Amino acid sequence: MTSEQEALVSLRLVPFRSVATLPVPNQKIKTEEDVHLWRSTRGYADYGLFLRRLNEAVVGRYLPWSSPHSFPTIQSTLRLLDTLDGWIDEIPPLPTPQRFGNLAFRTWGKRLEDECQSLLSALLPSQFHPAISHVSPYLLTSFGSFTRMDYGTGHETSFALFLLCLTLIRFLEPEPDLEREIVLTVFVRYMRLCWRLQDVYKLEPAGSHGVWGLDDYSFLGYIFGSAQLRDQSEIPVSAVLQPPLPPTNLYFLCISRIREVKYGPFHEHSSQLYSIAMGVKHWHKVNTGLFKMYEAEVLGKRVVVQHIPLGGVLEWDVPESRSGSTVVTQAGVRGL
Amino acid sequence: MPSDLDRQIEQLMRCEPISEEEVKRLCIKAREILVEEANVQAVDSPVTICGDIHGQFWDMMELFKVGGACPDTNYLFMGDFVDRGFYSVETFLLLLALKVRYPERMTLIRGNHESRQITQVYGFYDECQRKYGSSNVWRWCCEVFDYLALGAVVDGRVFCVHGGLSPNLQGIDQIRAIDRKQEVPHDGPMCDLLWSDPDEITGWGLSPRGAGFLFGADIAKAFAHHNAIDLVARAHQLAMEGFKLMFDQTIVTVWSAPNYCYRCGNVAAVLELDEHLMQEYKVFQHAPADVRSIPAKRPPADYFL
Repeated sequence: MTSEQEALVSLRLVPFRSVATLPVPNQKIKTEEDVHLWRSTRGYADYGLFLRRLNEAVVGRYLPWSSPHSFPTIQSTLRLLDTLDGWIDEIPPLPTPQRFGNLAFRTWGKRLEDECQSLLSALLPSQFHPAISHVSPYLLTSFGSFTRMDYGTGHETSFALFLLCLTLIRFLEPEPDLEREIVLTVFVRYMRLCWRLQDVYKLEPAGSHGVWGLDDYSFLGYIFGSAQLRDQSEIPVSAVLQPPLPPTNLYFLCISRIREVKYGPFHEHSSQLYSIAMGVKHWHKVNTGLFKMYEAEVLGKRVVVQHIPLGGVLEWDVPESRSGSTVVTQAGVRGL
Repeated sequence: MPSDLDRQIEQLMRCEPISEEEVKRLCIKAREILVEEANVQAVDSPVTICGDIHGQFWDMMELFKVGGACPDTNYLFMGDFVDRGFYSVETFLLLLALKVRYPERMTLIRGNHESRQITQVYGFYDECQRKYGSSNVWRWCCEVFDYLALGAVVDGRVFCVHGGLSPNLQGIDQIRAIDRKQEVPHDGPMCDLLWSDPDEITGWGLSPRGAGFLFGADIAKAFAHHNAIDLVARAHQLAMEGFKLMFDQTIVTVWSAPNYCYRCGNVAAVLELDEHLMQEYKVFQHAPADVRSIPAKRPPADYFL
């Protein structure tokens, strides 16, 4: 156990018996002020702690990962993702090559909406079933927008929050051995599923900052990958500029993915990653910098987080007088 | 002796940004010209019509190779000069400098990305910050965006607009009544012109984009008939072959950003209209890697200090 890990407190427990009494999550963030309020909530603090615990759990652990333990809960979570992946084969893209965003993605999304309840009933033992309506909103928003047919860091955050909810109710245990599995098996599986959805249904990047964002679609893989590499110095940060990269960590996986789908100079299409590779000396700095950047550029951006369901298990403990007082502005305009 | 403007154009043609002070003066000059233009600019043939560029500077240089240099060729760009790509600053400033230098030969109309709100999400704002160290250039460019025309009509027969039609506008004349000198509104006719898309539906439909509408062949044909035009030329949607004709050739999508976002593998096109309004589509590929500038040394973002 690293010293950083010892310093992290445990995640609180939301007893599954009490879940039924909690409000069901919904979209709370409508204004800039709401974003600000969110960052003062217990749910937000829980998420920060959860990410840091996942981060610490994978320091110095590499891919491919062969689990020394077998966790049935991890296995069933992986099976859920396998099921969703299987639907892609059953719902082929429609022959409309002109469109950015294949309409078949809506069929895939409809199936997720229709079967979400039964998927979660299969995943969770019966004592957790009162929590299904509390965690399903996160799973439903984990794979992209079925209306806009796009995917981005907000959806990725939803999936991480889904895992957080499962941990708060203790379907998943907040222990380093299991947290390591969450990152190195479940999250990697999720990432590959999302790549496939992006490829097959030609999903558009949701609200990406173009070449000036870290990545068109995702963020957390870079955080976890930089954690894996954090405490070693044999592989320098600049190694990412010399492909091919060995698939030993999530950072390299994400960069290899970019090189697979993009054609053009790396310093242009991935200017942030290029600047990091050229200008940041140590993985430790990359890791802490990415955390700061994630908080500011993902969690701090209204257009990204306004779609995330909140409240209930992810506690929205905001004084009523301060919430919902401001005018609703238009949500999520986007385009080519 | 070349004027300052000619020197700036030369510099921008090499993909080198001009100074902040020069940007400021260029933007003021551009606004003086654009404010005199109509909401729907009248343009004479022959003219070459271009779609989205999205900061793909070197690909725009390929466009000029295929279409001819300005001012030898008259150009009409249908918006979305900025966002997503690496060179939105150089791309927009070059087009703007050409507009100021050859106002009669270069027509620029507004796309949905020529907006404060959108450029803060899709990259142009970040790019100005990175390249100039402040948001001044972004602010001045946004002030120019507010003055760009909303559409154009070539010889009274070809209506050009970035997105498409609006349920609130039957006649082109109605567009002239809009007060365009503002940020793109969230709804209403001005928003629709910049955001709508044609689709295989009947009548009007809700747009998945969250702004503008979808419109079917019946709507496009009624609009063409009512306004006595032959063709609606628009951009706004990726077309893998560079252009896409729809609704019995009533409407065409022109797309001028090859290998869009470095990943789509599409070709691009421009539409040349000759003096008889005969249409010729010229297709082009993305620029080869070796014509690009060398990577500039920029420090990583402050998060990593």
